[in-house]
Amino acid sequence: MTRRLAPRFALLLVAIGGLALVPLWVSNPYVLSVLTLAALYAIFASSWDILSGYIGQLNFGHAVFFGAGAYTTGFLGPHLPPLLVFPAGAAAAVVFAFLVGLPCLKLRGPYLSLTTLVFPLILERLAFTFRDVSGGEYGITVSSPLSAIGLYYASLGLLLATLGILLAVAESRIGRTFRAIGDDDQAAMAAGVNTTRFKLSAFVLGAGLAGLGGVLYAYHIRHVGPEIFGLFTSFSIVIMGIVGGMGTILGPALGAYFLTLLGESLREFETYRQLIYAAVMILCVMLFPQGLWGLGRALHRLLPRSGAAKDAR
Amino acid sequence: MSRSRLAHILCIALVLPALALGTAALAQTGPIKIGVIGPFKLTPGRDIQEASTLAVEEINAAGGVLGRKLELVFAETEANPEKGKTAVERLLFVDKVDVIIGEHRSEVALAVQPIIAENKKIFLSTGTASPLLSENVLKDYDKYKYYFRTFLNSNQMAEHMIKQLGEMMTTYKKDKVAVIAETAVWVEPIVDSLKSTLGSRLVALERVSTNAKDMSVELSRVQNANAQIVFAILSADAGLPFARQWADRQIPALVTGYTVMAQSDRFWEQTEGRAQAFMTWKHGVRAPISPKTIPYWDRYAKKYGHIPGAYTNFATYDGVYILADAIRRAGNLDSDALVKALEATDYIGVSGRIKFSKRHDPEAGPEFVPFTYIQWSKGEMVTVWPPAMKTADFAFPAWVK
Amino acid sequence: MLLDIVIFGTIWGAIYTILALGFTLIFGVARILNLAYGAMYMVASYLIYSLVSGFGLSAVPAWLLAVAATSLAGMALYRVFIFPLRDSLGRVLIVTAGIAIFLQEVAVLVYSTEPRYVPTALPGSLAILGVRVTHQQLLTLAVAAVLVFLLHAFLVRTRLGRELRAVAQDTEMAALMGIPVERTYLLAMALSTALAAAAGALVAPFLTVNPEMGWSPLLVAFTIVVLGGLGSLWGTIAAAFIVAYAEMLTAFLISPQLRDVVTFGIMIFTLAFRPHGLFGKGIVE
Repeated sequence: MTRRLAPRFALLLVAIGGLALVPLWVSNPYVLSVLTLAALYAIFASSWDILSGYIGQLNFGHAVFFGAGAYTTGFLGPHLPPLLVFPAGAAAAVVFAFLVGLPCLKLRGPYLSLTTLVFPLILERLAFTFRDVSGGEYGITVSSPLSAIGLYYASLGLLLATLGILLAVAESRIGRTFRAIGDDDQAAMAAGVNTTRFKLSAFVLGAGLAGLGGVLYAYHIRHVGPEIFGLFTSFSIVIMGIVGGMGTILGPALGAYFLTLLGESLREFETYRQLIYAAVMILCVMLFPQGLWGLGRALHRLLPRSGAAKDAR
Repeated sequence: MSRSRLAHILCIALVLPALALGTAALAQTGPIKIGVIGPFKLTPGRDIQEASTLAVEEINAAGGVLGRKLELVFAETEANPEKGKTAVERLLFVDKVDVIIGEHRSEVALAVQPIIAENKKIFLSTGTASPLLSENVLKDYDKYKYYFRTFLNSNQMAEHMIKQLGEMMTTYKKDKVAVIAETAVWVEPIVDSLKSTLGSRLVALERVSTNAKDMSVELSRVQNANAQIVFAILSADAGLPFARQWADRQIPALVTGYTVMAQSDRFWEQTEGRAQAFMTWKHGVRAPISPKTIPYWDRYAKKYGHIPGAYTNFATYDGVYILADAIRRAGNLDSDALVKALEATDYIGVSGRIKFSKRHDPEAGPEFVPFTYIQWSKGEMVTVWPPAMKTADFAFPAWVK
Repeated sequence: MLLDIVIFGTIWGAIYTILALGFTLIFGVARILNLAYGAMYMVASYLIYSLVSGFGLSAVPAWLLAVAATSLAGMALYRVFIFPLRDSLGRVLIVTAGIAIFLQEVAVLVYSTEPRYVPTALPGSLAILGVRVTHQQLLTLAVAAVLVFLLHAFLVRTRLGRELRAVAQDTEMAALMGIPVERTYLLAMALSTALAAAAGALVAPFLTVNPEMGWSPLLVAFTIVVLGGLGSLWGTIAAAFIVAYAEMLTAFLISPQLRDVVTFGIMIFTLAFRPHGLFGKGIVE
């Protein structure tokens, strides 16, 4: 374990633990529902980060992975026991990991990003066109095997597992290799790294986790439709990642909670919500490229050590 | 403990229950909260908002319901099931509304219907055409009996649209029909009915994307097939280029069906007059559908500065009144009592006579909620069908014999 | 049927040419992928709508004003948002995506989601070999041809144009030769936005103007640039027509709904199997 991993794991456990205790005080189903949604988006954003923040494949179409998981749930949910739907959803997402990852291997920068943007749009169009299979614009109704509180804990559990795995990978030698490829993949190749294998592995990891999240998402909304493949869904993930802080795993998760909760509390300004998100995205990428996580770290460094603080009082 | 302390405790012990009772009593006289959901940035959503506001103002001015005022709580769903879910949960658990009405998109209604049903609240949708919503009432009555709709489902639409088409074909002796229909699930029952009813008289069937912006291809094919009537089913923007290109290229066919863009009061300007003789089904027209219709139309136009636009308008206005009526008859807000009261509804509203069928959809037909068609004529929308309610005669486009 | 495909394919090919040329200008010269490119197209269309319906201007002055205003906006966009971030292509992508969404939302708030129309400059239609084509569509073809001619003349005959081509070919060498690179980028941005605006102006009268109209042109432009490859004006034009005809063929022979899918498919396949494009010297370093 690197020096940074232990405190991050600790922070993660404290945060998840805190969230796990929330239902003891708060029983309002609306609040729990919003928190569940935030947890799911945190799974999507952090799985996006391993692709975009580490291996440098700035992905504008992450929705294709959790959308695949959600639609799998829609198709197979009535026919499989729930325990099998999860691996099915992850498997579908992994298939797309290859479909998207392979063409992207030789691509970099903008060409890569636009290619990733296009995949969910293709699926969206296919979902609208082949309505007999996909339910068209009405989508597919999904019945959930879990109660609302069950979903809350399942999402939290999956989030813990996702962040745990991603953190462990990110702080390991594999993670360092990912970063090296992200910084300069020509140099990495020259140094003998099998970039193809690493890139595809990152895709499989990010997609698989997102796919599992997609299954829970379908159970939570009890519905899956083409809007999951829309432009705004994918852009929301990017905004969450930027606002939270790319390349930190925990940052995007934080960004997801922040923006989901912000979105709900801005209901009075409902009409301006998208506008505010876009403005936040622009301001963040220009002024706070390290995002909330970076801000937090900067503040943390400013704090005096605990002993000195007590004396100062 | 000291005497004053005891006195304090006694005071509190007496005041608190009184307060509680008082609050409970207040609750009986506080407003009846109606949650309204819809995509308010879109025209059908705007109509839901405005029609419900007008209805509530009128009802409150007349004394309210059971001595209480009606209060609307709006929650935007952005035509998105995810946002719809949180909107409905907020209405149910934070605003604690008594009933929920509205919504224009079936996919949102389908996603929120189970949540509202599980919480045993009335959900009266005033838009949404999916038959699945009312089918749930038949399939699982105990769970879904709280669902009602003041608008027709697409199966009913299919039945009546075909009837109108048939009459048109007979009256004008046309037997070659082309259908241009967008690819959407709600359209399927209509297209299927058209195919089976028309048989070989269907000379062309064009399916267009919901995001189609250009109709050149489809119109070429329709023309090549020598169609005499074009039956259009277009709910998205494609209606605009359809009308413009139909007129520009002088496609020799009459137009009927359901083109949502043609229902907007801007359509004439938007097509620069090419809309002349363009016909579409419109739910909500300025015609004597019932004695209430024309006065409502004028009141609405006066208050908001534009005429009722989308189909959700009449459905929402009537929906609020029907709810109020049902609450009065039930005498309280208990959902099961409301279900019984709603099922017994026999109300004459602006959209006609509303009685709910077994599936909690309104009965359709000339004696109930009629299918009305408008045609654009010299800048105005005139009602041309059904004959009993028409305000003008059907006209041919200038270039068609 | 074939005639329809040929005629409408040609008209769309002309529009796509303008779109693709604008895109290739900024992409080829400054290597900047401007995700707000489609938004510029959208803004120009709305500007024309406002100028014509709101202020009563007639067609030609409205077009010129809209193109000029959008072009200025494009330059401002570059200076304020793209220039500070130009070291990180990823951040440029994100900021331009943010701007595109922001502009779209502004359009929704100002104009609502209801589609707007722009009146046709030339009403009426005529029949070409049995296919009815509107005068507006023919005008589009003519204007597009003129624009291509002007652009070609600019790039080949003027000093600024040659500087632009030099920077596109080899930025370092151009800088060494004393060409002001940053100013050239600004010029490229102005031209690029002007072309997007021109395309918006041409198309607005026969489609509808709505807030989301910018994404499709952006993706089509990118596809064409990928297919044609960078560095060749004629290559881009050829690719534009190939894509236009491919779309028409799909629409007529397979299904109109799969038009987008075919275009995206072309993009992905070209990138996967022939990243240098058909005609150019390639975009993947």
